Amino acid sequence: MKALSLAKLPELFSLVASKEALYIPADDGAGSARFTRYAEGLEMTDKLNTVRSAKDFFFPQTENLVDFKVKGKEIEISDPRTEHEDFVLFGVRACDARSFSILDKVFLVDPVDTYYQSRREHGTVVTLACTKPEETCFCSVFGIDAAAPEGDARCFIEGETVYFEALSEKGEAFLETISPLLSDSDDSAVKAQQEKTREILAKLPLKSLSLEGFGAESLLKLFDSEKWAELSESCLGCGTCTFVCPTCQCYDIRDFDTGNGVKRFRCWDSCMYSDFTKKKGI
Amino acid sequence: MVEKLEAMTPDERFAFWRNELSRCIRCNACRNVCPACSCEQCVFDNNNSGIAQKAAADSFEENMFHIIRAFHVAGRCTDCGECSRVCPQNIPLHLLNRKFIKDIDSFYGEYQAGEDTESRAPLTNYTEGDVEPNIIYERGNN
Repeated sequence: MKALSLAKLPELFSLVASKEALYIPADDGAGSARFTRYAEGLEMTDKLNTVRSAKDFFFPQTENLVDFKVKGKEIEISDPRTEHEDFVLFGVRACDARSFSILDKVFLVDPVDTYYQSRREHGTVVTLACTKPEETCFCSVFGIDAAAPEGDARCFIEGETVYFEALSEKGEAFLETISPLLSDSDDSAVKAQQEKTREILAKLPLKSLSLEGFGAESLLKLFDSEKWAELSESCLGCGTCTFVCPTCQCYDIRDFDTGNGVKRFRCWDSCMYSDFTKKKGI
Repeated sequence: MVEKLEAMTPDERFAFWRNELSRCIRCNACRNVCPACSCEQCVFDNNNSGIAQKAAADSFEENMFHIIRAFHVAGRCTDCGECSRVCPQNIPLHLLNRKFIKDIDSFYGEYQAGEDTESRAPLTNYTEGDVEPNIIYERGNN
């Protein structure tokens, strides 16, 4: 375990940002937090979570896939990708961190999505343990431990100290980058914090939420439930639930006519949209 | 707030709206909830329109989507404020509509959209006393 004085966190941010792009959750001035590229003076938010999930960094809302240029009878095909820069995503919570392994199961299996893969390879995820979960939190139901998040490295803010721990090679490299600022420490403060957090987690109202009754075999029965009639009345079909969802991964591929060619791009799609069912129609 | 925006220089106003509209995720909740948005199928949802779109391609589209939508509902917007209330990104969209409401009130007399469904609304009616387009030059930045 490594330690750093909390007051020196801005120094750490500056050091990281001098080597690669750094994103931290910061207040957006409109009452919410969002992951923002670090610039001198930017402060980390006090809010538990960002509105938009951290999936945006690996699976952005829009992404150009391929360009076609027409010259007479020739069609020139080019890959619009530029080499991604290395980046550090700092302060990701345990719930968001778990979403990456779920997205990996979709995008990193054969055929591998090389756009997603490239972003994953260039990103280092540094998670932050929760100490004050909301009453609406229920990550433990899904086997997530908010007191010990996954990630390339994780950190714990306890009192006036930030503790760091590497969990992967990329995490080791991250700690190496910031090593001039770190000192060795034992893990007793972190252990005590985890114990306290887990006690809170055990008392949360949704702690005993049962997942029984979900699953392929009961899908049709749930689909036909009468409850949907009333629930769906207030739905606007805006798809925001799917946009902010850390694990929603549906996308649409469209062609943009540039006049002398086509830019093929993908953008998030949503099962809440009218043409979604038409397109994927059985 | 509209007066505050009107008092800004064009650059300040542009910066204000860029900051607000840059948060748009184009979920269309404002459009879907709007009682004055009355197309049965939006051009952006119609694959045959050639401009069907699920995300703003760039900052220009990010701006213009909301500005043009405000133009489209001008004279019919009742100032219910639902667009701002449903916005998951807290964009004060109703301010665009309020600017139109203010202008309609000052050019055509006090008007409350939705109050009277029998007579013609100011923007769908022509009278000889209507303001000329060159009003824009007289009003300067406002």
